[in-house]
Amino acid sequence: MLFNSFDFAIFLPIVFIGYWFLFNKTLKIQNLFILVSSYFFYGCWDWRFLSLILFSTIVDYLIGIGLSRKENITKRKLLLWISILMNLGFLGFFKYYNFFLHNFITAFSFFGKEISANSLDIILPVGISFYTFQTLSYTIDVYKRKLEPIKDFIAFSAFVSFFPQLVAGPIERATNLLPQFQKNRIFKNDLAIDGVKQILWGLFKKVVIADNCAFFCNEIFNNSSSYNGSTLVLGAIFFSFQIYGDFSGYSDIAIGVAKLFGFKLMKNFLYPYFSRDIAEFWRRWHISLTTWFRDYLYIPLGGSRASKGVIVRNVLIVFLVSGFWHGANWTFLFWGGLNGLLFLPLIIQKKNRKYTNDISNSFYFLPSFKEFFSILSTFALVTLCWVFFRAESLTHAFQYLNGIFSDTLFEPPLITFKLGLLVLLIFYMITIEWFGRFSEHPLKNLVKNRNIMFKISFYSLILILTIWFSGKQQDFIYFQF
Amino acid sequence: MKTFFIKIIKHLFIFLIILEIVSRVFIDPLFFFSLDTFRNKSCKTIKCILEEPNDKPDYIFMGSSRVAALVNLELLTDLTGNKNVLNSARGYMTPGIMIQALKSKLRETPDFLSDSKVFLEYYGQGSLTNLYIRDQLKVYETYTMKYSSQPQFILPYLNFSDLKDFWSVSSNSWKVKVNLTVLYFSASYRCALFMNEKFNYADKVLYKGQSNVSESGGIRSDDIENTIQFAAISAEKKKQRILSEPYLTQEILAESSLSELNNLVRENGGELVLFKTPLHSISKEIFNTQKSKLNNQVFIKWLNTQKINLIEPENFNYKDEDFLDILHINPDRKDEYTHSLYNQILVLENLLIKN
Repeated sequence: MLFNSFDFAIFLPIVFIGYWFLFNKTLKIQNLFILVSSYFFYGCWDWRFLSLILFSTIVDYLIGIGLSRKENITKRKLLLWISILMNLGFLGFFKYYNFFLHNFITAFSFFGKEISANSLDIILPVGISFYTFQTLSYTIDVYKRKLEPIKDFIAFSAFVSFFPQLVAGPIERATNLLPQFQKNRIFKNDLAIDGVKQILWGLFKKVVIADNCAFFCNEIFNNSSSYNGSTLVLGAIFFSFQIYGDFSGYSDIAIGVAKLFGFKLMKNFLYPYFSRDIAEFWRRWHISLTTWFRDYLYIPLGGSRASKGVIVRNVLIVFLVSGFWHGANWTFLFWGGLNGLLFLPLIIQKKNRKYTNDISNSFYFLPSFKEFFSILSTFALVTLCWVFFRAESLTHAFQYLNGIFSDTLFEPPLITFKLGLLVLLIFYMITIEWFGRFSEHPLKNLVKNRNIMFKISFYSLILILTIWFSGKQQDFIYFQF
Repeated sequence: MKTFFIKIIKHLFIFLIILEIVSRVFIDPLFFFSLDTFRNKSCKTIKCILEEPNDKPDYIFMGSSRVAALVNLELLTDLTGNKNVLNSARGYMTPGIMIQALKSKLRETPDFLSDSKVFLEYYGQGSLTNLYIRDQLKVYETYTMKYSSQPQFILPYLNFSDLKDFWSVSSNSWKVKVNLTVLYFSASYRCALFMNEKFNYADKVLYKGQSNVSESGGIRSDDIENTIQFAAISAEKKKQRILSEPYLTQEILAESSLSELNNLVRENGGELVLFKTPLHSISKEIFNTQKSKLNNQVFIKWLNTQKINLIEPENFNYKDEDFLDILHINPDRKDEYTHSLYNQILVLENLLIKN
């Protein structure tokens, strides 16, 4: 059930009414209703994998209880490792089994040894990477005594499977989301209105920007050898906007939907394409995953309070693992590594926190020339990296880049009517995001102090564009992760 | 909670009014223009009827996307020595829509058909030989999810009382009836579909290596695999339907859509001519049963009694491989077919002069 589908348009109001009007007598019943709705939502994809979520939920719930009762450090560690191995074991089997098998066979045959092994026809459960990391955060936080283990199994199950963010994040922390399942929720008008606005903006980014960019990206990437360099540049730029519109659009809808139910999920995107360097980009892109790796991998490895050699190692490990998290393919590993290499000079020179202030001072209408240049160069680097993310293989990625940096780079690119219109729509999105960049999402305060006619025209325009110019429905890219 | 609902409903209501106004003022004219059988982009004539509203055609070609993709209008105009030729065939055409469109055009230009020849595609028993009373307002409908039904093509010829009749007489499903009703009343809905389709299909140029016949009124050929699958399923369904229906009789044919069309054309001074279009072996298979053969004999007899000519382009040899998608012949062979058809038209004209 996609967020931008008719099914979800039916599902959401039913759950909303059930949640606030029918099953609101006690917190437990309300949580149980969320749990049933979430399992139904997930079951619409593939009901067989519900058992996987349920098993993971039961094990982590019991381990949490176990951790609260054990004081012995060895036993606590053992419990933690059971949780880590089980969660990562499922993830490893479903996501990486065939990848490792294939590479082992290739490696052995390289050394002249032929081994035969059959790859398995494994279907990747939707959202496994997201809920695995979410439950892991719970066990680790309980182990570190940052969080009291929860006794209420229904609330814990609802936390693991909460439908707005179950299949593509944001990857919630138990410390943020779990307490929200344990206290009574009251309908807040402002929060719900804000949620609707965020859903609207997320839908626009997904169905207008991402789905239309996908049309051109698929065409250009799939036939890259037959296009000139400038068109390939256009293809790479469109992919940058496709993946942004797709993933941040999903996150906005997820956060907006959660707000309708009185929950506040963590931010996942904060205008990443306005970043002035790579370090800032990674503080603004997929924030829930970046901070997860920071808290549960980078810092335990020693973080930045170590020798330069260790810092280099830690940064590279985090980026490589992050790349690998996205998929069992060398392209993702390379993408992660490349981002790590771009990040390293900043952290070694201790310039990685140079831009922690707001992008461009609010007194200025437009960025300064220096800021504009920084934003543009960061976008160019990020776009270059996305080529590896999007390509079918490393060979394809290098061929694509080779095509870009060829004699045909300065030939006129492919220009069509739809492409021209799409560029205007992207420009519209950038403009709205630029003026709304000081808020959690651009529609939050952008027209707050304007008169009613302006507000109506503003929202109507977004809705009309969303209805008229929605692209052919595509799956969300991050579902495959 | 109450404030939330009131705010959401209020905003949605205002938005819908704005959308309705914008759609009616800016998009509706374009939408209806593209739907009108005798004015849309794929309907072409050398002396465009749109430019000269009182002009009337010598030859009018009617039928499905097969005809739109098969007949080269420019070539036929040249061959006929600058006769005014109109190709009003298009995809998703039904006899009901053809007749309603013609009636509508005749109300606008009463002598539109006088001394004209109306060439109608015929490829075997089917919708043309069905009872007109059931099909007079019927629109194209498919039962597969992949290809949606196309109720919008009847909209330009539909008034409110027709809409009521559509609910009572049309054999379309209730889903299509609801869809057409919403299309009729809501400009927001019909224009949203229209804008979305225009935007999404704007860049056909990107589909390389596949000749796309949609420009000449045929179907899109960037989805060949699905079209082939769809055509095969449809052929089998049609075969089964013919087998389950009663045998054709002179009485049934007298009440058929073809008969209605013939009467309409004759009453307005024109002449109806049927012409055969090439068929893929899968489509031919529909008419290979004993029942179909008997039906065909009855049909030919009826044509003779009605003095309707049936022509078949000679010397146009083709194989299954020539079909792009089972339904449509590759547009590369369009000129060849047009030449063959023209030769048959010449034979027909000479015959008529002799008679």
